[in-house]
Amino acid sequence: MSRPRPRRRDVVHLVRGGLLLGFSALIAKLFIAGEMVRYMAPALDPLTALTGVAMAAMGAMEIVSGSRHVQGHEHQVDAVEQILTCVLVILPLGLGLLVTPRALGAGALGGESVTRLLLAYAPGSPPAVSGAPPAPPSSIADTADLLAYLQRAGLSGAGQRVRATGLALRADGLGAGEFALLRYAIAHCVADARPLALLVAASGGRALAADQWVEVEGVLAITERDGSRLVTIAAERVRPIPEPPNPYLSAGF
Amino acid sequence: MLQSLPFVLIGVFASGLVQQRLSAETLTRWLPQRRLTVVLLSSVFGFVAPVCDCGVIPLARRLGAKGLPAYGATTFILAAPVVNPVVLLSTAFAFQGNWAIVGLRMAMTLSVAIAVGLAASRLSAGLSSLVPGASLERDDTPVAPGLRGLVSLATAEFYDVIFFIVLGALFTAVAQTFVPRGDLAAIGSRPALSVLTLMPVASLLSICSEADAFVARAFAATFSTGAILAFMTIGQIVDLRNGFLLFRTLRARLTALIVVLSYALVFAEGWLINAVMARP
Repeated sequence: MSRPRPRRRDVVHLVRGGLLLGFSALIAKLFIAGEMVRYMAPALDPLTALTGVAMAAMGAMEIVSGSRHVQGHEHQVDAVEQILTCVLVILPLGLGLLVTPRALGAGALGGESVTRLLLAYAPGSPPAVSGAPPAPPSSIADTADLLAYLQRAGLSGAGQRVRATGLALRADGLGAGEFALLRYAIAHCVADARPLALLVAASGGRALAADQWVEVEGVLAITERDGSRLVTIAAERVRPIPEPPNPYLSAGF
Repeated sequence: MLQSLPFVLIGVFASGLVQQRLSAETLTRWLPQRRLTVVLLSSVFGFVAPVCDCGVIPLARRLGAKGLPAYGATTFILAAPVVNPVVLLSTAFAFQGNWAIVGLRMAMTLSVAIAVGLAASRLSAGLSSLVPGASLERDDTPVAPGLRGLVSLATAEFYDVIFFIVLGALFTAVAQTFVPRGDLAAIGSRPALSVLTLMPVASLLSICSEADAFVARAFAATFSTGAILAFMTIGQIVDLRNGFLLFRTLRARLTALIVVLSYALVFAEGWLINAVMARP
């Protein structure tokens, strides 16, 4: 490894600074376009925004230090390694800046059986009692509300009116008129996404496109199948909807 | 890759602070003489410097360049992503306050890190040393003081590691897309096979230590407890995303020792937990 000449060092500083500004621009673009939620959990937004600001500052200082030859901390630079790094970093940067990210769909299940993902009541849950289900703290307007209600009410929630959204998915092992309502829950980012599904029993066999988002309105019910008591929405209305702004649930479920 | 950037930045700024504020003489003066003590201290250093697996290697490289023996740096790299308050709390949250899981996870990680660290301390100095990085030769060259110097150091460190982080992220994305997970559940309850199955899955998925417990919990319905713990332990020690950076940081023989010994120990501990839990 040879110590680079000052002129080459200028270029290295400029390229490094440019790439850091590129990362910062990517983060800004994702926030401005509302696309960050397709990659990351909203809980990490402050940290990600701070990262964007820090990288912008680092990029600007790198460019300035390149033009001024700041003394005191010069690094040995291997030209081949620098070029490889640039090429490898530019690739995801360019893709991120130019391509609109897509939310995870059914293809991300990686061959996992949909019927195994169906949400079931815990084996030891007491049987449902007759009578009106416990009232939810607020209206159940989406899947997150529904899951929170199920955690609280368990089997006794059967009969409660609910509304839920998700990807409609037909699969082997489901009956006529049944489909799975698929959602992904993420803790940090889509790399740790984990799928969960609710059984929907709908009258009529409406055709559903692949990866079609739907909104289901109906009442909670219990379906006994293979020794499990599956959480079921007896659907009264199913309608296609566009993908919601945040397609993922938080990993708390 | 986006998700790891904040944590990589934390790691490179921590590394820059060490370079600015900690002299090699000071570190040498503080370091205990006995190898066992160095290994034990390194294994719990994550409580002082709570960095996840994305940021641990830059900090370990810098500490190594300042004089921390490679076996101490290795122990720190293996233990810190799990044995730190942030990750232990996120594990407790994911498993809904099951502190037995949290304790077992910490115990498994510590045992493997300490065992590998002690084994590494027996290697000859040449084989167990850190690979000299482009900017990390052991030296005490004066660096620019203040914020400008710190940012300069952090930027240099960032460019030393970003190549391997992007490369690891690309391979991980390929693995996450193409590794089939459909038939895993069928073998989830077998005491040995379930452990053996989830370990490479953890290495391929390369999930950050602060998030892997949430994924592990999804496996909990179909996999044995030993397999779940093995998933959370080996995934932070041998993973595709940081593998390239580990090879860049440690000698090949030391890296091979980490992979082989960690896999063997994690498998044995996971299987043992299953065997104990199966007893009436």
